[in-house]
Amino acid sequence: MNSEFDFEKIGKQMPYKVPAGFFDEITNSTLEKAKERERKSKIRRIYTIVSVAASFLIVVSFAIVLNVQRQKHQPDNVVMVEPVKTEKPVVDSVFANAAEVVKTENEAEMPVTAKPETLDNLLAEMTDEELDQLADDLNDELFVDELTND
Amino acid sequence: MVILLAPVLLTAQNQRPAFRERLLNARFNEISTRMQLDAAKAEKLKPIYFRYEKEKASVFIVDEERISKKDRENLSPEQEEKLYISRLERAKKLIEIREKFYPEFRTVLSPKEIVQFNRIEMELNRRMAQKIRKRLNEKEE
Repeated sequence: MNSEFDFEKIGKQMPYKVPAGFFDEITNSTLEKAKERERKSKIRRIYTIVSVAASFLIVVSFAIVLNVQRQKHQPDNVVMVEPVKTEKPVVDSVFANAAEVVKTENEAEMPVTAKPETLDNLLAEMTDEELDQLADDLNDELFVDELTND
Repeated sequence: MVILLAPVLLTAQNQRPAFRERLLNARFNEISTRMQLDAAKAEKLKPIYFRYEKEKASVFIVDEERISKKDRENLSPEQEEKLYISRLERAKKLIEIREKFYPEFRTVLSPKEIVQFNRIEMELNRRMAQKIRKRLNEKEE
């Protein structure tokens, strides 16, 4: 086999051939590809928005559930008193000088009267895990109590 | 993500300290009632007691080091020793805190009252520990 390459023998011939209609179709095919890229990027953007919205919804629902649970654990001895409606005279500024037009306004107040919480009530509210932790702390205290008290 | 999680994290973080505060309030009410402290004395004593308890809370075993009841039964001699030494260390710190706060308590209470205060606290600790043990044992049965 002759491995030597003679450049002179090639002359002015083109060593490569362009497929028929290549230059006619190049514009269309490039535009098609660009459209495809734009379509994919739109889909990706929609996916991103949907996933962010979904995460937000999950987090908000989780916070709501936690809050509801916390409200359920409110101590029984905290008495929420019905709003007390007091009739307070209010002078309407427009008619103030002409005649004393006195209106009444319902003033809502939310007084909360709380009896002092007892340790028993609070212990009843605690979870087993929290009680276990508190027991550990109390053991340390009792250990010291035994060392220091006669 | 931090912004998204913020409400949840805040709710979770706020719950525990608020509860601890309620627990401390209940303990203080019980101690001051049993000591028959007048309102003015109780009011002066309360902030000192809260600071004292908060400092003590910083000494207690951290959650990561806690050992479950089950694991506690199967400790190796080395683990047992480590546990005992760390309990002694904590006890030393708790005594130091008592010593540190003594002058502050002394501004409100007489030495006799301080002894009474410690005794009532100890009784309270015993009673609480018993109740906790009882409740946890009832659950296990």
